[in-house]
Amino acid sequence: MTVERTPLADFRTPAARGRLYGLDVLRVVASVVVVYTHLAAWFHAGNYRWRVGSAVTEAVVDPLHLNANLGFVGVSTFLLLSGLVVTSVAFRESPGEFFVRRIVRIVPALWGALAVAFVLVKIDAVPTMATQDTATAGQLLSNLWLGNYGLPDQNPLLPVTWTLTVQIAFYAFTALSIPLLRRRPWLPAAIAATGISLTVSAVHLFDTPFPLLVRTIVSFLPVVFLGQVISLARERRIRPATAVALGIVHFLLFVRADLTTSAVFDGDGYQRTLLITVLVVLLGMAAGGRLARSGLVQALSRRTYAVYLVHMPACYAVLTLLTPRIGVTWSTLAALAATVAATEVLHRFVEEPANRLFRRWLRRRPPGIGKDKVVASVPRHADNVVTYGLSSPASDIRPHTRS
Amino acid sequence: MAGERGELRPALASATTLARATGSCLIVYSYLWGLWPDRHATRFPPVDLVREWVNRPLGIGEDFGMLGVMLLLLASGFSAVSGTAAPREVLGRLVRIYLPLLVVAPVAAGLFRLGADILINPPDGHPGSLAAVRELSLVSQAVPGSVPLVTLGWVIGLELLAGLTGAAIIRLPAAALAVPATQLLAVAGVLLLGGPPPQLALALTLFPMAVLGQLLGCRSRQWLPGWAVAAFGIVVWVLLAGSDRTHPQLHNWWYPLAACYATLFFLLTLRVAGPLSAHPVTSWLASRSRWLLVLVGVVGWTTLGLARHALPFAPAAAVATLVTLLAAEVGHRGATLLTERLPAPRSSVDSSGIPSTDGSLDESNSAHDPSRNQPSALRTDR
Repeated sequence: MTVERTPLADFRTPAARGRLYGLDVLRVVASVVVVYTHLAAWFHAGNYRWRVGSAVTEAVVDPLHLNANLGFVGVSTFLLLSGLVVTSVAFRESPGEFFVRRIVRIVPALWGALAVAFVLVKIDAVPTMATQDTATAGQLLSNLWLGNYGLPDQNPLLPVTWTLTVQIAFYAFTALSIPLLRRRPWLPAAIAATGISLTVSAVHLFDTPFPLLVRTIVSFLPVVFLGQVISLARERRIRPATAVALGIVHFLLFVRADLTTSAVFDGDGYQRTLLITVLVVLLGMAAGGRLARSGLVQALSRRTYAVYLVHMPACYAVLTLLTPRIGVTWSTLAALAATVAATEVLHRFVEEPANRLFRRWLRRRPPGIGKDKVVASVPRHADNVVTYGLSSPASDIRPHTRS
Repeated sequence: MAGERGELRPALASATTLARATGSCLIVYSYLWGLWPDRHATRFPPVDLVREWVNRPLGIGEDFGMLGVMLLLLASGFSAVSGTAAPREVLGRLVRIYLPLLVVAPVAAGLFRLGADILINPPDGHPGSLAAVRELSLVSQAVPGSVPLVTLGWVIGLELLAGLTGAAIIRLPAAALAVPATQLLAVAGVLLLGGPPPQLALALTLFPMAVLGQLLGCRSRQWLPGWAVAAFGIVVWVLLAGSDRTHPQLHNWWYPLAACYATLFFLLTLRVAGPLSAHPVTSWLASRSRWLLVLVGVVGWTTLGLARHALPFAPAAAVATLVTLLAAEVGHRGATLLTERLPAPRSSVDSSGIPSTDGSLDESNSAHDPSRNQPSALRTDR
């Protein structure tokens, strides 16, 4: 660890820092934590004794009073990083371009993972993840556009995808507010805070899925906006005092969401987790040592979205099949191996080709049709970047100067 | 950071200013605005609101008081490995740490004899005739059943210890691994095997925070590699979590969580202290922090009790806070005059890491009140 003090100005000046290698490390760590969370949850649901889980609970979860199985640690990191990174990109893309890029980055891998999940659910290989009756054409159709979260009688084939609803809401809001963001960078976060507060006040009844979806989105949006605020402060687009004020408001909105409903939050450690995550991200942003710059970390970082999508079906299918036969330890290793393989397949054969196709399509378009000069100057992998806060070269974002 | 091995840049050292100032504020708030009304059956809605919206969700008990103490201990440990190991300088540093207690303990004894309402734990306890002696000899916490006169005084003992061991590290940087290791081993031995009395258990549980500060200070002077600091950090964590588990009286206060926040915040202040550290108010609070922390339970507490007879709580607490600040200023200036002849630290950074332009009586300490009976943000019924 480097304890060297970095003056605030240097810390926040992108030109002084360039790529944020620390974010790559944070992404990798977050994806490991997410995998751990779901492994621990599976063993817990099956009443298996998992030594790793017990050790983590004893050493980390209990002393810090976090949610069981480190729940929300990984997700809060991803959401925060997403807000941080996407905001930076929003300053050099047109609204349409911005939104399309994010969606193109999300959707192909999502559909690939849903196809795998559908098959596994259909053959009842992952009963802990989704019941067999979820694997119908109608359910698949609604899952493909995340409609399962807002429509009655629909269930998720891939439960982790709920966070994408928060992401997409944030992208839509950011796309719409790009003109405002460029002129008054603090204003979108302030408007969002007002909107979130009003929505939390207005949406109380959860007798149908849609209000619950809305409530879920507005409950977790403050986390993404915290990332936005960090990004704006880092790039010196807003004053530190403004950033602190906006940060406090969004944090309190997150607290309020928890205080006023129990339907969305499963556990009482969300706020503690978020504060720790914010502090760790602020510290981690400045990391740039050998490990952070290593090719391995960057390669892993590029695969975090794929890991996020496939780890649950891959792990659960293997665990369901093998744990009763070969025991916890070996089945865990097999599940992790399956996750690695599935991740690589999804990344290599779905994510990357889709991104390549999209870039090619962008280049072929005649000038002036949504391909402005700003976009054209975006580095090649910038569209890999910023979607879920999961994918990699998010930190690749180039320095901006105040316009 | 260090331009040359072993040198500590003033900029880095002054980064502890923010942590120290924050810690002082948190403790003054905790005792005067949080604990006092609870002890005197008074409600102050804004404090309740903070508990509901901040303390409880974040799991920070005692109205941030112990979080403030941890920040001070981290800053003390960090500062303890700055400066030089010249005997006169070390002596001067230790005197500066001890002086606030030396002054305030007799004042507390006098006030108590006069029947003033000073902060006593437990509230119905009686300090006894030898309390001032115990206080000044720093054994209050170690004597089972003793009632300290300066409830916040035990941190002085920890700071002195950190100052002494810090001097040993400065004297022999090659021992930057051995000294912290020995301290942690000793703490672990007493804490986990010795069955110390509750008050001592608390002090020992928090002492590793000062050791962690030393380790970070050593790292900043390039006396330790990053992996060693990380490894020791894990040991500190194990001690905190282990103590939390083995001492039921500590378990309900969630100290490991507060320690986690304090450490992350401290690391952040080292990185991005920025202009906040240079702000006059921050510097002022930091340089008087030890006085503030010792005085808050004596002068502040008494003043609040008196003012409350004539004023509603909020103005009374504001008056008490101002009087505490004023008393800290008086103490600081008086001590500066007294210690002018003491050797000044070699660099422009004093023993606490605060640029010593104002006399450098900086650090503060406070203490804990394990039996605080407040419906704090963190109750056992969580």
